[in-house]
Amino acid sequence: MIAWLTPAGFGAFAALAVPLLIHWMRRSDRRVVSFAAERYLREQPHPREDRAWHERVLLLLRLLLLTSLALLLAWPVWRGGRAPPPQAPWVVVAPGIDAAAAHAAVDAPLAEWHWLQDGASLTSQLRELDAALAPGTALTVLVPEHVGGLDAERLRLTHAVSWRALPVAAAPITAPSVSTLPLTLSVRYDAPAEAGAPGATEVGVLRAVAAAWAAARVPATVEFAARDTALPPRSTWLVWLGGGDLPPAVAAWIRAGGRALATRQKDGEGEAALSDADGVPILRERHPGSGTLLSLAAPLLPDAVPALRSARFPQELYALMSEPREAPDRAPALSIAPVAPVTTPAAAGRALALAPPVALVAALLFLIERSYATRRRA
Amino acid sequence: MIPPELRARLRGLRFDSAFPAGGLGLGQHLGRSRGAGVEFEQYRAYEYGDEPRRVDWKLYGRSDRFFVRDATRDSPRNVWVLIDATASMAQADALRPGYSKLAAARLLSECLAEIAAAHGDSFGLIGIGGAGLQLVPAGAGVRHRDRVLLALEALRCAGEWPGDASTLRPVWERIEGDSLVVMLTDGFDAALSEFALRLAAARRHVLSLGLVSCEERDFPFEGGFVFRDPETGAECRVDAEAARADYLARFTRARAELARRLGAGGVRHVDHCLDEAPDVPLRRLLSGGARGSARP
Repeated sequence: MIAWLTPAGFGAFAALAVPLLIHWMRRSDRRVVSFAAERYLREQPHPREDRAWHERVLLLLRLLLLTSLALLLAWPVWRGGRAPPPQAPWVVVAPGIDAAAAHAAVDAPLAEWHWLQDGASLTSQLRELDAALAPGTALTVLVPEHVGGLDAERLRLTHAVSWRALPVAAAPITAPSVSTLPLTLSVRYDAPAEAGAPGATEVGVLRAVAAAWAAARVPATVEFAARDTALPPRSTWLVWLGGGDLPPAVAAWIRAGGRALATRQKDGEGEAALSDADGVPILRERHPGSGTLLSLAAPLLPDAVPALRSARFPQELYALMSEPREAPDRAPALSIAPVAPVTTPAAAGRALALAPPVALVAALLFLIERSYATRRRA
Repeated sequence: MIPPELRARLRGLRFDSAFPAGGLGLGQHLGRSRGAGVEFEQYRAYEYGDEPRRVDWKLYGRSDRFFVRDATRDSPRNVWVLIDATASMAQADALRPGYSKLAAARLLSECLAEIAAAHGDSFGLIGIGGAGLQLVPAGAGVRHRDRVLLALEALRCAGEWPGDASTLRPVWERIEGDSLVVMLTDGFDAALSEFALRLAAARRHVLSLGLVSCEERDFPFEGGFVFRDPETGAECRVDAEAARADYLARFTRARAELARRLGAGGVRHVDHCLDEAPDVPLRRLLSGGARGSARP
């Protein structure tokens, strides 16, 4: 049985009108010849119709060629034989579900029961199973109420799925993977204003923090540059010293996903990200656009922020900045039920692409048409 | 210009024919003028005024009567070429577009002028077409031949055969009796055929050479055509394949009828197709039928 993947390709049949028109119209332009013996010619009593089909073989070849091209555009496939016999229904149980509870929940005596592997991604296992399963098999999936280890793609299966969520006493929670990327800081400061004793300037404080990180073998690198240096890549933290409103370029950089720490900013915006021992917020966190901005109301100086004198400050700052950022991968099971199955050729059995032979036929027709159209006429 | 090989083949041709030449003076052809000469013609009775030295005295001695001995003189022939310069003579074959019927007529006229110059005959040229009548008076010699060639180059074909007698009057005035008139025409014009018959009836010896193009003879067209008569502008829309058999039958019949009519009127007609060598029709026209019966 031939099926058509892109039936819109049949619109190309409209192109058949072109050779038909050409072969229909060309007769009308008769050549005018000066002929002295015209008096011996007689107008035929029934002159052959001007608009007659001529070069019929060529016309047929051209029509066949266009037909084959239109069929090619419609992308024919051959679906083998009749539909396969119905299979026993499958019940697939996600890890973490008690076998007894599962058997109690599903009333399918003839079903084949399968337990998914623990540890591997639930969604990818389901997709693989869906691809391998014979078409038309009824599928029941039992999942816990909360499912983890999801990916960004919505689950899309070709089989119709009965999606059941069962309560689980202790849902398996996998430890979040910690980001192992080294922390990089890029400090921008006003060089003339920051000239002075190491302990009396903001740059000096940051150099001290960097030295503390280096001493503790923390995977962090800190680089210092003048304010007008080009902005670093977005994976780097930008530390903007000297206060004042952020330049538009820096603000845009943050909104586009950058992360920055700025001192001497207006107070009271954002929620506290780092507080001192008394609970007074030091750094406040905001999220302009898709970026992150940690702002410090005071200058980054021990006199203004006494917490800087604490020996734990570099550690806390590192913890704040190197906070693992993991995409959310847990969701209630019912909210991620597979969307309606899409019918693909694979769903109805094995399909054989007929495009190559049709393309071959079209190429052959083209060659024959060319050789016939340019043949030597007597 | 006449190609050299054609010129070589022309060497054997001359204006011999069944009738005596009518030109005055001395020439190479059997003439009609009688009198003193070497070739005996007849005895006739003495008339008052005959020179006494022309009386055959030996015969007087035998018969006791005066007889005058007449002889014929060899005379030059007056040859006129009359070219049909109507628009239909511009017909040429698609395979050889430069060689129209008029070009063929030019070449044939050159050949005739060459033959005439070679035998001392006087030669005149008349072209008749829609533009009127172009005439080169009869004359003899190589310089006159060149004058004819120049006039031939200037000859153009246009329009239809002039119907009024005033245009054709110089023909009657110039072409004397007993002249040889060679008409080069396509033979499509009935008025021209009538004119040839009238010339023949008026004691001019008319030869007609009908020029036929290969396309007219073979009708090798394929497909739909509109055929237009260059003179009348009449058009005929035909499919060549369907019309071929009928056309060829009618055309062949018309040519045969033309030859028959002209022959009945004493005009010898020969058809010449443009793909033949020009000396072939001349040979058939000039030497056909006249050998051996030159004397009346």
